[in-house]
Amino acid sequence: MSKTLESYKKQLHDNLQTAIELEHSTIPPYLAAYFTINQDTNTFSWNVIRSVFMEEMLHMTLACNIMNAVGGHPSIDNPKFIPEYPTKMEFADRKFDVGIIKFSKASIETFLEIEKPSEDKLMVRGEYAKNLMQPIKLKEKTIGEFYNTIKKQLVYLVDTYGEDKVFNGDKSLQITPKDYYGGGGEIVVVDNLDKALFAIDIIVDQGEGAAGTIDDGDDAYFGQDQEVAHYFRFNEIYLEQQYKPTDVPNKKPTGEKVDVNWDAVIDMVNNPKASDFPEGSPAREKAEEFNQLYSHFLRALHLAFNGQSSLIVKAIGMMYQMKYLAAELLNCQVPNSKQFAGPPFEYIMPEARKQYTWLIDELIADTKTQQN
Amino acid sequence: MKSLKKKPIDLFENLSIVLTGFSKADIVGTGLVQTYFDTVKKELGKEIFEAILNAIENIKISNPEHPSDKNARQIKDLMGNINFKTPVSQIIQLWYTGEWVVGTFSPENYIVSSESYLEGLIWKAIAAHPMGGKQPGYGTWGFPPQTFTSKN
Repeated sequence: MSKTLESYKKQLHDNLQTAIELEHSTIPPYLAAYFTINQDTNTFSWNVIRSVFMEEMLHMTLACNIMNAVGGHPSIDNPKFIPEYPTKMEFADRKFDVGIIKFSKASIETFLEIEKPSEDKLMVRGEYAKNLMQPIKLKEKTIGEFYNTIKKQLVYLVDTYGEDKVFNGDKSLQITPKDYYGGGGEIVVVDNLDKALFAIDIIVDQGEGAAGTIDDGDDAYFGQDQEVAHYFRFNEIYLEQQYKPTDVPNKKPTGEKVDVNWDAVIDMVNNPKASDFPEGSPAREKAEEFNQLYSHFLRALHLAFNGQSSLIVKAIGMMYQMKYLAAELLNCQVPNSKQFAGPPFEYIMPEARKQYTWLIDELIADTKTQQN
Repeated sequence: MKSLKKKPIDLFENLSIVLTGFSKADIVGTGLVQTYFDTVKKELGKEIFEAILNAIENIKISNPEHPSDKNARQIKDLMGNINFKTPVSQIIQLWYTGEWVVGTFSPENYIVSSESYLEGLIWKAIAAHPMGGKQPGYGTWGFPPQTFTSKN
């Protein structure tokens, strides 16, 4: 017996941490596209991108619930948590840049690469292979296949060691529908294998479509209207045409034409960094403020996913604040350039952060007391 | 605007900073400098607007965000000047409320645009949000205002 439950669990935790980081890392690029267009001139695209990043936030939360259910601990307020944009995303068969860039054909092409559906059939519940446990470095071809590997790990571990030993996490660490509102579908409290597999199905189906279809499964899971998965929603923007419910993944959409205005876009610099802007300029000041807020936000999320779930309310408030700050940044012209600044999403080490009134230690302690 | 050496829009930006007490980044961040420049020019007429910009140019403010004592006195004089008193208070009200104010409850008052309402500096000043816009997140009204402070 070279491998123990502990070593298997370590692999599982590492994969789930990767999943959480993966879900989060897609959000800044999606937000950059979203912030640079306007609801009035690009209504369809604005709504699509918004619906997608809301679901990515749900996915990240679901991945954290699975991590906590199997005795792991999400690590979020951590410099390794955020990639430096542009970052490379690497799958078994392709490698591409993902950056914080304005809405464009090129950015939608990248989003299609991220959300690409699996050609191979993914595991359906009850069907699994044994002894597949091995370390993963995203050697899969799609995000769906990566989650499929996590599913197989879960099933293998439960099969070998029993559900109680695998799902031994502290139940109070779960984010519940009470804590999380208004976006992307309902949160699943994970305390057994079935719930974990269900949570993964939601993530995968919303991203790349349920079982070889264009459908995202939300109609079945949450009683919502039928809508297509992320890949296909982005493809509707790219091809400027909607899918019909009867359309299939490998064919072009045949539904109504979509109005996409590729020119009504704020001309944001690619991959903005606070240090790119001269000191004393409005762009620099707002970029630094954004990074401060973003770093505090990661701390709020970290605490929320590690036992102080009521901090989700503050974290969501901070997201709104970041949205308004991003809008201000996009009004700040970069000195000696015709382009505009944008949100950098850079990590600031805790010791270099300004004090932030919402996360002063006493107030956090207060939240904890009220919760207990 | 021939008498001015600097670009009129830059002078208006400096004027807006000294009159509102907000930073250049906050003023520029509203995205409304050009809109308000056009509004004020239209409403006050070119002559009086140019005279105000001329006055601010003559003060030669080195740093509008932190004016020297001398500059501060000069700005106070400008605000008290019988010819400038009303227009200057109109410009301040425009930045804070997004409204061009002719008189209290005057039917000629108007909100410049939906953006100008949303970007009113008053909301930042009182750490609140414009009713019906820029929602702050459910339940966040239960917390004190979110601001950064330097560590002691």
